[in-house]
Amino acid sequence: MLFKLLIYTFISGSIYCVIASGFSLVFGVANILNLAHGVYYMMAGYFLYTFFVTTQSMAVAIPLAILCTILFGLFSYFVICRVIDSPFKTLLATFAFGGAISEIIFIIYGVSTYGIPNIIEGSFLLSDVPVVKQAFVAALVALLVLAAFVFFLNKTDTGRAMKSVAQNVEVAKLTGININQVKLVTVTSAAFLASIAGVFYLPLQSLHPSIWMNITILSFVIVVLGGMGSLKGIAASYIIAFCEHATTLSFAEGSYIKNGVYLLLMIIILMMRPQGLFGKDLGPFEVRT
Amino acid sequence: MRKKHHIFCLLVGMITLAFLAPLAEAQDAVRIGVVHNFTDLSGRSIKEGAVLAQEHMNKDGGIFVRERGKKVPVELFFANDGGKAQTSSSAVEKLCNSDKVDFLAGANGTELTLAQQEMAMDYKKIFLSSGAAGIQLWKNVEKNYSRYKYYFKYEPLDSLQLGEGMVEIGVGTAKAIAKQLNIPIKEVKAAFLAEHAEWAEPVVKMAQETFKKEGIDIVYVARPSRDATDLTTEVVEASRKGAKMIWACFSYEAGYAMVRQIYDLKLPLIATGYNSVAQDVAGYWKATAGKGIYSVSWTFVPPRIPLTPKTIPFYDAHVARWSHPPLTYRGNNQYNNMFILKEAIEKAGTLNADKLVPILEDLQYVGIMGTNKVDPKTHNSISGKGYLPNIGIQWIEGGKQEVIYPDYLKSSDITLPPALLKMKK
Repeated sequence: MLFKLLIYTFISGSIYCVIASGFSLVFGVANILNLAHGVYYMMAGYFLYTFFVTTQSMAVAIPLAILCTILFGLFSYFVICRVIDSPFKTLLATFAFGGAISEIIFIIYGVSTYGIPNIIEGSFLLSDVPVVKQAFVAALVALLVLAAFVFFLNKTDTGRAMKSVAQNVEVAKLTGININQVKLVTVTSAAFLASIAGVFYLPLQSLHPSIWMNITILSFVIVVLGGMGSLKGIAASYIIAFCEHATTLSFAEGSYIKNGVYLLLMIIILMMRPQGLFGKDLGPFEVRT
Repeated sequence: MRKKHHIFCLLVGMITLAFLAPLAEAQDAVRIGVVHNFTDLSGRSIKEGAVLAQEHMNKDGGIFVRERGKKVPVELFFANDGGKAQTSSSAVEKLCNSDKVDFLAGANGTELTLAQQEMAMDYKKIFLSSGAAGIQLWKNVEKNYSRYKYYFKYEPLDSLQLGEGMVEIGVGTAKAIAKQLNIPIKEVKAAFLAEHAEWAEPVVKMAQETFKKEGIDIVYVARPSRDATDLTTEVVEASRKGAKMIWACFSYEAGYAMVRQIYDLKLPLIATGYNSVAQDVAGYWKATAGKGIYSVSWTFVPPRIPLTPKTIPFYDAHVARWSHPPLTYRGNNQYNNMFILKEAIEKAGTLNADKLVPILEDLQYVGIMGTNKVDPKTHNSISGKGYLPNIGIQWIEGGKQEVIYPDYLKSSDITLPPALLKMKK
């Protein structure tokens, strides 16, 4: 029972990690609370579906879907982020952007739900626990990509520039860092990270224009729980995943109330530690200009 | 000067509108308001059913209204309730107040329809709902007839009536498993996966009692939300506890997750009961990427079999108009409801709601799925032999549906998935 719980927590938690990392990054570096974040995940799924139907080849569809999601991330940056000058307006604009894209998808693809075939079919037993191969691979890929991204942040000039902007935007400006360029790279990186989750994990679910909202809420909860703007904080993904699976296994109504359970957990943590589990105490809400 | 000019233009515009509005109202038409969440599958289905019925009626000139001495075309008005309780009644209010509809139809989800029922009764509008199954709706009519007499539910069956079908299909599946695996029925253990919703409560209770009576052990019960996207933990737990079948009760998207995850994990399980999405002849196979195979479900979407003389013509007309059969049962319900209304209006010769109530109470209408008739005291549909049937289908190889229940309609026996067949003794 515990082993099963740990396996499923590892799989879901790793996927949540890669999704939430983009959300956290965009908030930490660009100071944008991107409520359209789930749209990147959803768009990756629709791109994958479209390219797969067109080419009948996952080998072609996957890179194309990731590339298109990155371009979509760029587009989202130019549409909303550049023209918005206050965090509150950005919040509203990103939410509106998410809703608008979802409506456009409704118009293009209709209200039907679509299924994407798995890249790897079948399942295997991990010490008596049945695991879908695709889910396991998705979790591994998510962790690998995340590791590569952390390497990028620490070892490249662009990555270091992103960290500098996250720490102090004014000092970063003085050192000659192009802030807008850094923000642009950050938003597209978030789209890239979400696309990895979308491309590898969405085939296990069904594709529908309303899925973006749950993903956004999930990312938001993870980031608040872990600490706003703290990349380490995304480890809270595993806490959320553990809560979900443990609640499901413990009560008949478990999977109905699981969202409520992690939201309750978030409230409790915020009461005890307002900066989140891994966040620094920033004092009053900081507004950058 | 410029400001005065703007005010003058505004006044002219307002006066013109004031003159045009009564003209629009005076247009001779039977105005039917359709309320639903048009961004989901059942909403699309209701819209398609409504438009098809309108086209079929208007092709013949519309509905004959004796008091006007002529056939009157049908005009449709749509209001999106967004699938939310808080906007559901305002959608009906918009139809009654702004669109000035004569009748109301559509609606889905008991919680939403209850709110809409109140608003419709306030306006004394005949309201024929097409999608809600909760018993509270007709209980309102029974308890307070003078207020709720304008509400009718010819279709779908209520949750107790359709629950009987879902439970019988579940028991039938258990018997098929016992027979094909050569085991006694008490070894066919069942798990329950039923959405957490008002309509599902009496069905789940009924299923638990019936399964117990039939000697089928229920080894696991989970009540996920109706739009859950991941049910891995639940289906694995069901299998681990020895269940050979999952009796499901899903009216929304969670059904996709269940069948896909049973397939992906190659669990020795078969899903039965009710999986609303499995009724979608056009989209289910595509949405599950073929992984919905072997899934058994109660359905109220007509298969292309002659249940009544109207079934096949309707099925073919729907395919010709929309390039697919009805997406959910709400589509054929909506179509049927509009023709029931037409027949009642033609009998009564008027659009007056109070005069139509007794006509609708007496009406016996041969529809798409069977004979429609309501109980005059509750305005609830009558089910059973001679009225509306419960039908069970199974998805098989190649994305086809077979009718597996009831015996007098069935085209095939239940096919068990290979992982389950391996357990044959």
